[in-house]
Amino acid sequence: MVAALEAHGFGKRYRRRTWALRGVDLAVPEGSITALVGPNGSGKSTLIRSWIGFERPTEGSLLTGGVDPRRDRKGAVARVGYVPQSPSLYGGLTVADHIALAGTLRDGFDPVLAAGYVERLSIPLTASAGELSGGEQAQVGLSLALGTRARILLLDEPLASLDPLARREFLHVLVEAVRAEGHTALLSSHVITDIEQACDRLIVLGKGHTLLDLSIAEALAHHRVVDGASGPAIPADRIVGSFPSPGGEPLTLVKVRAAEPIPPEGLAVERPATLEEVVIGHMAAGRVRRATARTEEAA
Amino acid sequence: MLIATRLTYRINRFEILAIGVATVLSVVVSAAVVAWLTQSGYTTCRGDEFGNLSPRCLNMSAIGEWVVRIDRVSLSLVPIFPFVAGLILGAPLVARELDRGTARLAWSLSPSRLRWYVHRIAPPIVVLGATSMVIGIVADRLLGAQITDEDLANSFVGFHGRGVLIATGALLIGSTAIAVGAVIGRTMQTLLLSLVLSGLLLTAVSEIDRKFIMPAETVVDASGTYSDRNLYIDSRFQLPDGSLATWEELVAIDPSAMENGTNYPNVSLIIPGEHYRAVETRQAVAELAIAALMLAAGGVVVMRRRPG
Repeated sequence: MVAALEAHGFGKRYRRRTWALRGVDLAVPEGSITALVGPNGSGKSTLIRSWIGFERPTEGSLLTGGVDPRRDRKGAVARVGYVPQSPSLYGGLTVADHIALAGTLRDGFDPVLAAGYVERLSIPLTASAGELSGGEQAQVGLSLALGTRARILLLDEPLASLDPLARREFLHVLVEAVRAEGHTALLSSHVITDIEQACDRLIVLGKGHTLLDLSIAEALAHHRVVDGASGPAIPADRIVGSFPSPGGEPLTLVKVRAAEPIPPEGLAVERPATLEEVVIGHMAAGRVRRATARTEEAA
Repeated sequence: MLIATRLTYRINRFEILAIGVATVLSVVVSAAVVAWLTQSGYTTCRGDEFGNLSPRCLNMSAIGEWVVRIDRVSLSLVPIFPFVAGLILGAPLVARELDRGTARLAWSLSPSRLRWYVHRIAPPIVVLGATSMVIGIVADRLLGAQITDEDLANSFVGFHGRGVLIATGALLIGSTAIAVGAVIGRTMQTLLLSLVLSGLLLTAVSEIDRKFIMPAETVVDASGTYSDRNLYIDSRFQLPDGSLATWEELVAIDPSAMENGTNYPNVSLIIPGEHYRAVETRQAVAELAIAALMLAAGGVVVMRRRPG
């Protein structure tokens, strides 16, 4: 596997106290659309910002398209198209102005391509950025990132401010562009249903750690959900985490080994897990691990 | 660069227009004032021994008083212009981009932050330099119209309030605001801190010049008269052997001076008006050098800092 993005023992600590991330080892395969999921404060934005050289690692190393952003930030930025969490466009400029601005800042920027995406998303080029909704601004941000023709796209929770239709359009444009050009995209998001349709790989970050790093197909195939809280009937090494269903009933995410189904005996119901349940189960497990670690530290 | 300049203008339209309009208004009003004062001859009107004006001057006095008042008010506003223009144009250039997050978008698009920095600061700096130079020239003309019997090229009248020092002062203040903004990344705080810092820098330039360079140019004026034409530096007591002493030195030499007063002549240390251009040029170069250093420092910060 050729990796477009790599992290080796990566750690980032702020103000000499809080570790946002620590000991992260990751590889995002070239040509994949990878979802980066995790609770608030899990370090998703820090990781993405570090790959583009906006943050400097406290320990470990990163590679962006084979370039270390700490040593060669220019090289890293040149390899990346970035859509920040809040696109923060210039309020006094029109959409067309933003495309022109990108052209002045980046060699090889394709204004025709960017304008094409903007028009496809039904956003007038003459509209002032200040008049656009949050969703439209995110779409302009995506169009600018695609206009860079960068091989790697880093998208930091761009779906957060989008309504369901805009989210769908955004992902459609993203997937189509990435597939057509053979690019790599890393998309951090909380919206699991959309990720399932758009992405082929899933990374779950806990508070500062990698909890899961699998293809979407593997993530679904390797997990099951059992109705009821984890109990003695389920072997401990198979339990990932317990969490409530939307109705409040306890559910448990369990791991499945190949050709070895979970013994149904004593268990209420066992069924395939949805991607959302896989993510939530791992997040719950991360929370328990963190609480245990805190208790041990306190002791 | 043309597109980048146009976009920078659009991003900072309010500030550039405000400074531009203020400059144009100033030029128009000043041109009218200077033209009236020059053509009417009002400034040459002098009362006779009883203070009575000639009929020609009396006819002009109503409007003349107003025109002179406008002239004086305009001149008193000139020293404020570098601060207002420098801070309004300089402070938001980088600070607001960091504050609002637009720097993140721009820096993610531009592999070279230096290119972004140059695109963003060059046009406003040119506008700042040009408008403040115009204001400096306007101040020269206004002063010239008011004081007709003085050669302003050889006079310290209105020192720091006219000519090229208005432009270099504005550039120093604007550059300081850019650098401070790059460090702080907050517009309001940048405005306040830059105001204090640039005030200190301008004072430092003047004081360093006064303490370390001007003494070599200082001459003793024993005439006992004070003239605005010369730059007053200090006063001394002249001892019988011709040497000069401060009050403290004099008391040490002749303690009776403390109680009985002194008959030693008091002389002034001055820089003659003929040195005006040399002093002005020297301080202008110093201010430009500091401005350049500030711009370079701002660039270094931009290259190294997080985008907020």
